[in-house]
Formats: sequence, structure tokens, C-alpha cells
Amino acid sequence: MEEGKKCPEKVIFLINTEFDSAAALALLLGNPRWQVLGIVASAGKVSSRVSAENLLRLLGALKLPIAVYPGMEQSLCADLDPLRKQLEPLPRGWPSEEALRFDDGFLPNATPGMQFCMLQKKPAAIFLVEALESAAGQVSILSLGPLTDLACALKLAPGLEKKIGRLVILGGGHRYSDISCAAEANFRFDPEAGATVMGSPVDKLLVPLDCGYSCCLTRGRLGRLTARGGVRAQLFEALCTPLFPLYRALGGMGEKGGIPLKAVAAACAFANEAVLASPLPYSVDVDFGGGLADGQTVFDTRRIFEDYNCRTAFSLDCARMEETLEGLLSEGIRGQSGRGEERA
Amino acid sequence: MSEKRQLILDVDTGTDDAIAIMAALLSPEFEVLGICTVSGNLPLANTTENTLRVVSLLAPQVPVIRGCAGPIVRDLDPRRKYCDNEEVLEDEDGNRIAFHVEEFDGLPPARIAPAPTNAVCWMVETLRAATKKVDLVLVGPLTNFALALRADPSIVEHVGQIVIMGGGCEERNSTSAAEFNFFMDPEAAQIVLGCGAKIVLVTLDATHHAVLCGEDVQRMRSWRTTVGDFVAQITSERIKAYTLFQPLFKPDSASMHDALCILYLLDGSVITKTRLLPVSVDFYGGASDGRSVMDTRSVPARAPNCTVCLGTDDEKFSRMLLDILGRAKG
Repeated sequence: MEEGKKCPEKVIFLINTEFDSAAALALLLGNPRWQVLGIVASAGKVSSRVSAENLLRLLGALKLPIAVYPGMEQSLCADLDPLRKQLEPLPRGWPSEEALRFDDGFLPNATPGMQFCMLQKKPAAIFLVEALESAAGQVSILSLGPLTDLACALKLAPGLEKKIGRLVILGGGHRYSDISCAAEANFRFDPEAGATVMGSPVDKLLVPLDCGYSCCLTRGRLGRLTARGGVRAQLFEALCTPLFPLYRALGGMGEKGGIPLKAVAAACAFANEAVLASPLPYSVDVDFGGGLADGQTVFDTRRIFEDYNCRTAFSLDCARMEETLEGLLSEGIRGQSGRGEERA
Repeated sequence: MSEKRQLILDVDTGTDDAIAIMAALLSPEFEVLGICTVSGNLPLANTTENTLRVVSLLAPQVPVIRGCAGPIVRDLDPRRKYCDNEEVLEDEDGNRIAFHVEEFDGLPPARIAPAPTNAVCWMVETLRAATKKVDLVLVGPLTNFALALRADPSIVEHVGQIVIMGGGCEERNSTSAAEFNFFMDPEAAQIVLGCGAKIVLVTLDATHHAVLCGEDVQRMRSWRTTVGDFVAQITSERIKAYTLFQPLFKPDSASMHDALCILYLLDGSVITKTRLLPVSVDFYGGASDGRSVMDTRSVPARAPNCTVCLGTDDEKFSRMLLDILGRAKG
């Protein structure tokens, strides 16, 4: 490492890999700012098996040999009650797992087949505990899926939270919900895990749906962002393009026919917290009562008790968001060691 | 010579847990692969230290692995913490009486330290690496193994049987509805009962007849061994507590719940009554929180998942237990 250069930040990514979250991860991987200790393929909108397969295809397209750990297929305990998920049907147009699976040839620059060798046998919760405990110093985490594996790790290793430097969470919503009338999908999938993580003393930045809907990406803007080309831009465009018909089917298009940048907003916030417009400390609880509000994030906007457990904002600074997105897209892709050719 | 049965113990030591650990370590029929601790009867730091003292005395080569400090999700809801059974009171002289002493002063300090890992990781790795089926004896809240099952459901393929001290058909202790181990982590209990392994549920109905009495205390004192003196001391305390809080069928006696699980593995005839039943655990946080719900109808709604132990040969129990504990020298 050259003198005067900062050491890369040690990071772990947790992702339920579908188009949105994969686009987000494509912005960050191979960036020399971060040393990725591993990626957890969590269950959520897709199973952890499909999440891992999609992730391996993404890594193959980026030519990055990063270890992938299979997350828990079930929630911490929400699935113990089979009626919990049946109180409300899925929204019309909610994509099936099959619709979110990456086919062979879907991603540009794809490696034929998947990088199976990078799929680890070690369960994700065990990896999280071992990686965090053995890391010199603290590790940062970006969560782009349900918090099941992280909650499990925090439960089974008391004191583990001290090794997490910062945690950026995509999830929840104040004025917005998606999978149910009350909840956003990541917290709805595992409300108890959400409550466990939100209740931990880790430094948390929550990026709720409100942020994603404040800055939507139109097809025109997507084209302009990715016009310079390069592997990263090509992947980003390929992963964002299917989101347009998906959101149209859901009736969830944003302003000017754009798509909300949910996971992408979280990734940009991970790179630059200033993309969130005036974040403030908040107390955010997660409803896990199993009723119609199951998984709802309850933001105490009174802000009178000062028992804050995270920082969050309800909109993005769109100019900073653009700038950060452009910067991330223009970054070449480097291998983990920093050696090897820089590919754009 | 038949092969030793490999065991993993999961304990919240705990006076009766200590006796169960001693019984396991003093039985040549078992190879104890490790002992995991969990919070329950006492906080994790105490259960771990107490376990270390027992193991250090009898089998310091057996690893002790620290586990979870609290239930999986139960403490997320402050309304669920209420337990209406006060287990620590004072007698007429102001002396503290409790079922579980916080520190085992009657044993020498531990010469060993806990393993440098946590119980859930250790359970997953140990079971994955096992070359034959391993039996589990779970005598505390089921948090550790439940999380291990969540982290890696495939470990159940490496389990022979799971002997659990928990639940009750007609008997309760923590609340009017629930037994302590299930009450402390109902979700964990439900996860374990639903895992598909062969489960033997040693309930309060059985363990309330697994007793030691004042005569047994005198006999143990006559051995003049560290184990005998220690077990006599804690049994004496438990007898006081039971006499005050929960008198049993036999006067001047105390239940040694956890030891029954070990004795069952040695000689199943110590259990006099069993039923194969579907058992689930209520985890909805209401008045039945932690209750073991046993479907005893003639046509139950679901297939049975547990062999439920409901009766004990109390004389055989005390005879077997004292024979085993009497093996300890020094």
C-alpha cells in the first residue's frame, strides 16, 4: 500500500440478489475503497439459493472471485406461524422468484456457467461471526436484504456488535410500503430480525423506501449515466432495464415514469452518506406482532425521548445522488488484491 | 465392549444441571463431546463459570463452550418478561433460599477456560464433522440448538436423538401455563420440536418424581468426597426451596430434573410412562406463552413428534443417581 493512501475499508455485503439489489452491488464491487471479506446471499424476495445463483452470475460478469455464503432460507422465527404471511395477499404484479432469476446470457460479459467455486459451504451466520471476530479493527456492513443472518449472528455471539463499525440498511418505509399495506419487503420477511438489529447498539444508517421514491431514474437518465460504457456501466444498465416493466406492472412507477432507486440509493449512501437529505437521529421500531402491520417500521417522528437507534432521512439529495452515482459508475473494476489490470 | 454413545450437553448450570453434568461425565457409557452453556436459570456468565467448575473437577479435557446470552426473540417484547414464580426468597432467619446458587463455592475454582468459539458455531461444526450420529441432551432453554438449526438445518441429519428437559402435560412451574425452559424461549422450543429429529421430551410430569431426599443427602455426606459434599449441599438447598415453594409428592425432597435425562439414556426403564404425541409450543406472548401444547385427542390434528415422558420410578432414579455420583473419588 502506498504511503499516505488510506487502507481499504473492510466490508461485508448482505444481499437478496435480484435486479435492484444486484444493480446496487454492481456499483460497489471491485472498487479499491473496499476490501470485501465476503458476501451473504440472503433469502427474501428470492430464496437464498436463487439469491446465491444470481450473485455468482454477477461476480462472474465482474470477474471477481469473492466468497459467497448461503444465508438462512427461513426467517428467525416468523415462519413458525404459517398464518402470518397469509393475512394479506401479495400486491398485484409482485414478481415471482422465477421472474427475478438471472438467466444464462442475461448479464453482459458473463462467464459461461456460474462461479460455483466461490459458493461456500459455511452458513452465513457462522461466516459473519468468524469474519467479524477475527477482523483486525471494525468491519462495515451494507444490507440489501432481510436482516435474518445478521440478527442470528448478533444473537449467537454476544458482543459481536462492537466489531461492526457502521451498518447501512436498505429497508423500511415511513410514508411508503411495498409488499403489504404496512411494510417494506426486507422487514416484512423477518420482522423479528429487523427488530433485533434495530435494537442493537451498532451505528446504523437506515435507507427507507421514502428515499428511493424521492429520486427516480428515468430511461433517459439511465442512458446518459451509462453512455460512457465499460463493464460496470453495462452491468448497471442491464440490471436496471428489467425494473421498468416490473414497476409498471406493480403500479409503482415514480415521477416522470422513472423507477425508484431503492437499493441503488442504499449503495450510494454506503459510499457517501451525504446523498441522504439532512439525515437525523430517529427511534425506529419494527412491528412483529403478526397482524396487518407485521414488519412495519415505526418511525417516532415526535423525536422527544432521544432514545434514537439509527440515523435516517426521508428523501435523497438528488444532486449529490447523481454525482455519487456517476462517480461509482466511472470507477474501474479491480480485483481484491488491488493487483491485476484495471478494467473499465 | 459396545461403542460409547457420543453426547453434546446444553446446560444452564444451575444446580440440577450440575448434577446432570456429573452423571454424564462419570458414566463410561458416554463420550461427552462438549458442553454448551446458555442463559436460563442464571445469567450466561454464571452458567458458564459453574459449568467450568464442574467440568474442571471431573473431566477438564471436555470443552465448555459459551452460548447465547438471551432468548432468540422473546425479550424484544417487554410484556413477555413477566414470570409469576418468584424463585428467590428468604426464610424466617433472613437466609436466602433459592433453587439455584449463583456461584458454586463448594467446588474448587475452574482450572480451564471456555473454548474460544461460541456454542452455535461449535454445534454446527461438530455435527457436520461427526462420523456417527450424536445424541443431544438439552436441559436449559433451547436457544443454542434452535439457532444452530436455523443457521444450518442440515445438522439434524447428524443427530441420533434429542433428549430435552422441558414442557409439562399436567405440571407447570414458571407460570400457570408453562415450564421454565420452554417459557424462557418459546420460539426456540418450537423450532427444536419441529426439526424432524427423534425427540424424547422429559417433562415436569416425570421430573417431579425424579427426586433426592434428606436421606440421600446424608448418604452423600458420608462419602466425604468433593462431589458428594457438593451435591449434598446443593440438594439440601433445593429441598428447602421445594418445601417452601413447591412441595412434592415426597416430603423433604427436591426434584433433580436434568439428571433424569442422563439416566434415561443409561436405562430407559427409569421412565415408567411415555406417550407418542404431537407437541408444539405456544409462542404468542399471551397467558399460555411457553406452554407445551400436547394433542392428546384420540385423533390428533398432526403426526406425533415427541416421545413424551410422563412418569418416573423414583426409587430407581435415586438409586441410579447415587451409584453414579458415588464413583467420584477425592
